[in-house]
Amino acid sequence: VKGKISEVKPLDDEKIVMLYWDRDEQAIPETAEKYGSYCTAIARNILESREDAEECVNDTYMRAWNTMPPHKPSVLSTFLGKITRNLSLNRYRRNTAEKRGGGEAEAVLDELLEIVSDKDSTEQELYRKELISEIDTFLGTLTVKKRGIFVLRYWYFESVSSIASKFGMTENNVSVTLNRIRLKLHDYLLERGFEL
Amino acid sequence: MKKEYFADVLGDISEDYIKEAMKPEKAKSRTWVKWAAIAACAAIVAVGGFAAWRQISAPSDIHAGVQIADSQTSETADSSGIPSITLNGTTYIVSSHAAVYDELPEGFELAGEASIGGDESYQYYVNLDVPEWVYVYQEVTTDGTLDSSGTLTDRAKHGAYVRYVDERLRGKALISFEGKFYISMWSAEYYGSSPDVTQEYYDEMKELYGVRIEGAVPEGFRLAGTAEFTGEDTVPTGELSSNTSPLAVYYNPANPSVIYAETYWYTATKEEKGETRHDGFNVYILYDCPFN
Repeated sequence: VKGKISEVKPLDDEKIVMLYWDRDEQAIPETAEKYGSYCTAIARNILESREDAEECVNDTYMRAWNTMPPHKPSVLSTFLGKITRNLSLNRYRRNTAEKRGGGEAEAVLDELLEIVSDKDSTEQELYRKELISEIDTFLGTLTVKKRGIFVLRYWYFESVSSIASKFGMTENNVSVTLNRIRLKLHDYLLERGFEL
Repeated sequence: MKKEYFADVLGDISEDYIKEAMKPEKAKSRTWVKWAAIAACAAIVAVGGFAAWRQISAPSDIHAGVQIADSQTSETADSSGIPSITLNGTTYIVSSHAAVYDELPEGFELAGEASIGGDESYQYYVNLDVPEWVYVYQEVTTDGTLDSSGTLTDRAKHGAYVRYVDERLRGKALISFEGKFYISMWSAEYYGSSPDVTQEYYDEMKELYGVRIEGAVPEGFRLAGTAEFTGEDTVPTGELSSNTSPLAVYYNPANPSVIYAETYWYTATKEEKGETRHDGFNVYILYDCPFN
């Protein structure tokens, strides 16, 4: 007696969101099927420990379940990715507080020191929106390729070598490109009066 | 500005850029096995066919700064961040069916207190007849009713009795048939602290029968009847019963290691016009039920 495993194509995002809204358990496997590897990749980039990464991805589904409804994300992938990114960064912070740091996150965060001073600022929350919007504008001035390199590094926490192979560049080339974009962004934000 | 803060800010850049950066990569693999892992952890099996739904207070309320009350009792969060309570070595995880009650369910009695987050103390209730459940009196947040138009009416934070379920039962789709227990391949786990089956067995059954099949029931299988629904989070008992819903069950007298439960699902991919309904069967495998 042998059954055949059905080949089911992933659902459209809208349908998956609807499952959440219907409080249908199937939302989770459908999400995992379609975006599990996407979220896992993000978590794995940020966290050294596979176990930690898996937990963050599982928590992502729970968070998604708890926010939909009332939330209705327009882009499900980035909605989930953002949750994973946040959870993973939080976990990373907790780990570093316990001196269990490491991973790509450490390197990525250190690179950000070329843009910001790492000093505490009390007013930063007040102009967070403006800051995001200016960063978006800045990113809009870059070529698609350069923007991709920047986003892969600082949003997805991808390693330099992985970015290099994606774009067919040398690692050195990627590092230099990132370095230039960081400096440009630093100057760009400084000119617009942000306390970095 | 702190680098961590800036990293957070970068998390909120335009979704278009986030999507765009992923474009070169297209490969996506089928990862249903991962789902099995997730199924176990996710808070979240269904609240099907309900008019009112409730949501238990976010785990962050509970699992931050957990304190162990005494040597027998601890309330903590399991690896996935879901609230759980451990009593005499058995871990109970908050029900996936959002079982939250204003009144203490009948038969349960106060058994002790678990301290959560330092000073706060939560009372828990047990029932010797239902050892697989524990109720904890705790604060719940979003707890409202959903009307037919889908509008949720919130209720303020308040205390309620929340059901916690033995981790070996929680979220498991089980069928009891002719005195034997079967577990859905969707919920069978071969890993973790309390696996349902061995990996060898799981792999073998998956190879032989799969997880869900589409189309007709395999040859040799015949209708056993419709399983009686014994309720959410219950251990099904008797000739033919299920803890997920009333299901049409098929069996093969010559092969007691597997049974099939009728199901259907929908897909709606870009290639399809609208929704496509698929009819098929979920695979349930014979297993050694710890509640036998």
